[in-house]
Amino acid sequence: MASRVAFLLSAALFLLLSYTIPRPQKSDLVVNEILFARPFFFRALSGYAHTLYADRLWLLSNTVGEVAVGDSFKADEKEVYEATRTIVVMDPFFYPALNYGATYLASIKNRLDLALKLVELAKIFNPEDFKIYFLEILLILTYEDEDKIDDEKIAALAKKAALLPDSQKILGNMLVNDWVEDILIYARDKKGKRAQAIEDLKWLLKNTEDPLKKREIQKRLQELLKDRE
Amino acid sequence: MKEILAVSLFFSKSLLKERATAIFVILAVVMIAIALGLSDINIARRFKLLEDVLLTSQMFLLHIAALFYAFEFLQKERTLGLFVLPLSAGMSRGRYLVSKFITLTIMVMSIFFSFLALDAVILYFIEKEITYMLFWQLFLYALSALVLGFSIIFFSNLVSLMNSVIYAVALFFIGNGLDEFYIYAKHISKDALMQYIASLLFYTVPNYSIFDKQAEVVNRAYISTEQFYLYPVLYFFALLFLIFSASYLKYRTKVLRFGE
Repeated sequence: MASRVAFLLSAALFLLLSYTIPRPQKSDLVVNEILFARPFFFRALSGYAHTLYADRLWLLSNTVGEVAVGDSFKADEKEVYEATRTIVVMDPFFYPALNYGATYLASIKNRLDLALKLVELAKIFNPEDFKIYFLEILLILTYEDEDKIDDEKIAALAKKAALLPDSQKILGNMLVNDWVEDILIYARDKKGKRAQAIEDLKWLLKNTEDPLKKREIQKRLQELLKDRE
Repeated sequence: MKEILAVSLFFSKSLLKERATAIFVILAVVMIAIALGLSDINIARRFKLLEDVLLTSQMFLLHIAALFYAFEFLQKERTLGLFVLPLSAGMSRGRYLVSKFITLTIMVMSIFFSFLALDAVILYFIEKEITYMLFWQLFLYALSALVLGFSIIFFSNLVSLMNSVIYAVALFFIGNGLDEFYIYAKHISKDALMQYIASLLFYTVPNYSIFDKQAEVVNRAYISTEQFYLYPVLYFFALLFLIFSASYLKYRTKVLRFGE
């Protein structure tokens, strides 16, 4: 008899607690502090599961909702940079995340410096990826002021990229010098650079779910399209 | 060699009969079902999330299996005195120790092969191709699980069984963060003392990060043949030799008791 009463009482207590415990809100899911954790410590702690965590963070930061700390719901460049940095450290081979974060920072927030910092970070872990070098070159050429572009630095980067093991898949039989020359010609091609910026924004728009970010990208895209006309 | 294999097979058969063996396979099937449920979510590359969930869950199960079988075997050895019969029949301590290592290898590898068969079928039907890199990564995780199990056997010669598990798991976590610590010390902080500590740890703690190439595999990124195939296997054999030698040095003079 006593055990039945104890069982019924504990069951009632469990139900009562389940009823009173607050249900999770959408903001609990969207605003996730893990995105702003210390990335190296987080990666070391997550062990072999770091790539799966990177997937989850990518879904949190982009597909599910916006990137923002606290209850501001306004993602500024620092927050976008920190969130992307965490994802890049968790999975430096996850190129689309790096591409998205760096392009967003350079094109929408005009923070090429932060975008290049992300690229440098990815290169520490993944120094033999042609795509990362190419992204760096494209970002500098497309978003840096023309008078600030250092041709020698660009040529050195392009040469280094062309000598990487997987570069042949993309460059094919093209000679390294020809490729470097093409890139330096593109550096002075205003029309081509604007076309690249428009393509970047279209890609960002396609990969963004958050309405706030979407409006921001659309606005910038309209400005560029108007300039072209 | 014959007697080593006979003893190993005898021990393995008794461990295979444990209910946990079936539970590991059932859990793997459950995780495959979860991964399939998530396979529609397209992040960067289709099936990336599926492969990530598959590899990560099976990595966990392989390590838990190594931990479980090492603990279960050593526990039985201490309570039932499994060593009495082989040693009294004239088997040397060194050979008996080899059979302990082989038993653990057979157990972890049998779990690995069951996962491999499940993955091969599932991935062939979903991705319409056989991704050998993925299977090799799973094999590397099996090697990592073996190093964890061997460490427990080694520590059990020095401390109690529970403590040996704690030490081995602690080493596993430190060894897993070695790469991150090294990169942080060398490229981010650039502090001389930190760089020295990071280099020191590289020579004193098993580097489990060397078995982790999952990011390159699921992102289909470039990875050199040496880094993917050669170094992890060579490193495993170097560790195996080291752990076995250290265990043997202690085990050959150890006073063996059971039923405590």
